Amino acid sequence: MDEHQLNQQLQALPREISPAGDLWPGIEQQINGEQTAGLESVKPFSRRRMGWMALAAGVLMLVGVGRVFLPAQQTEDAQLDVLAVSAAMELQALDQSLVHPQSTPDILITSLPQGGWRAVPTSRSPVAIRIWQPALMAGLQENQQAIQTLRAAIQQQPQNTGLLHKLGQAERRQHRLLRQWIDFNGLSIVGIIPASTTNNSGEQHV
Amino acid sequence: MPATWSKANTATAVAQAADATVAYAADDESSLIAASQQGDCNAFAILYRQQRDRIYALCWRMCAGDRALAEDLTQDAFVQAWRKLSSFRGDSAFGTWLHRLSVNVVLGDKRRQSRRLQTVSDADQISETTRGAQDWQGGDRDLERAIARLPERARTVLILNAIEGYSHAEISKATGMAEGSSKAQLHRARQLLQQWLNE
Repeated sequence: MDEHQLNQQLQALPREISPAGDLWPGIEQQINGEQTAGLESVKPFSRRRMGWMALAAGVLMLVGVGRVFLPAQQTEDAQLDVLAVSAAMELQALDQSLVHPQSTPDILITSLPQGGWRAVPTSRSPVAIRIWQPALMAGLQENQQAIQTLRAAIQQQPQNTGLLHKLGQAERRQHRLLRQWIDFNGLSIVGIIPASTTNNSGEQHV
Repeated sequence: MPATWSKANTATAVAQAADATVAYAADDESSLIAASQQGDCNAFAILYRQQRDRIYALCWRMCAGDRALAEDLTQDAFVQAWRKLSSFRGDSAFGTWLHRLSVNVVLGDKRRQSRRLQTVSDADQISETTRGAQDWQGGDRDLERAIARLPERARTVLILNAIEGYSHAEISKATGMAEGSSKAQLHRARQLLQQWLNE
């Protein structure tokens, strides 16, 4: 095959390929999940203004300032105040972030004691770390357990395409959770113990 | 901020969106975009169906034939498109805008994957399972297989340049590699394809 033939073959490749299934339900679920989360406006353009950042800004404006902006003496008290007032809404946000990992905010806006605003990366926000991180860990462990169970079942039924499909889904979910975990930890993660080292109860140590 | 405040605001926003819904015809792209920008999910569903196969083909090739990952990334691309629809001003065709956004989604996923692979010790296990989901579609399966076999960067450049029609400058902007590197990767990809297809 020469260069010309290769070009012809490349040009002849189809530019459109249909996926095996309808992907719209998954897209719609994510879109609607964001709309009904009570966290932002329905309109995409106003979502940018009224989304996660505004929610976090409003919550933090009412309750004060988080640890990163206070003297060390006041840090824990202020953080507890933040957690107490915003816990319900943060947990709602957490639920959304686990169902729709892409919706995790990159930054939170918080008020400064002397006035004004400041953006804080989610990975450094005390609220985010306190609430999201343990839940992410729990999600990782639970999902890893599901992967273990599916792998064991596939060993018994290697031709079961339904199980293989579910395993693929669980592993992709694990990818997403891991990405979030790594982002939260600023790449400080030291490693995930391979599945083969889980104990008999199925508990996974991360 | 009490939770009821948020719920009330959401209800107001829903009502406003309903009032603001733009009338559209299924074959009128600009009205579909306008309606989608106003929050009309049904209009966006029509845009999705018009563009789906082109975006899926891009994702599928960029993912080396991994169907499940391609489906995930296609979904991600459309969700991102919905979120960023307000930034679409019509300077280019909607399909072009969506395609570029999708390229960024795929490349972003690859960057995150490479970070993860450096830190997660069971990555090989995940990778092996994922590769099992390869499914060769299209008319020229030998060529598709050969493209999927290419090294990552060479495959990315080949797909974007030779199949999708991106210039090296555009590829450089999207991938962060120098234009010269893009040209070199394309040359390498072509050589490898010729070699493998002649075997």
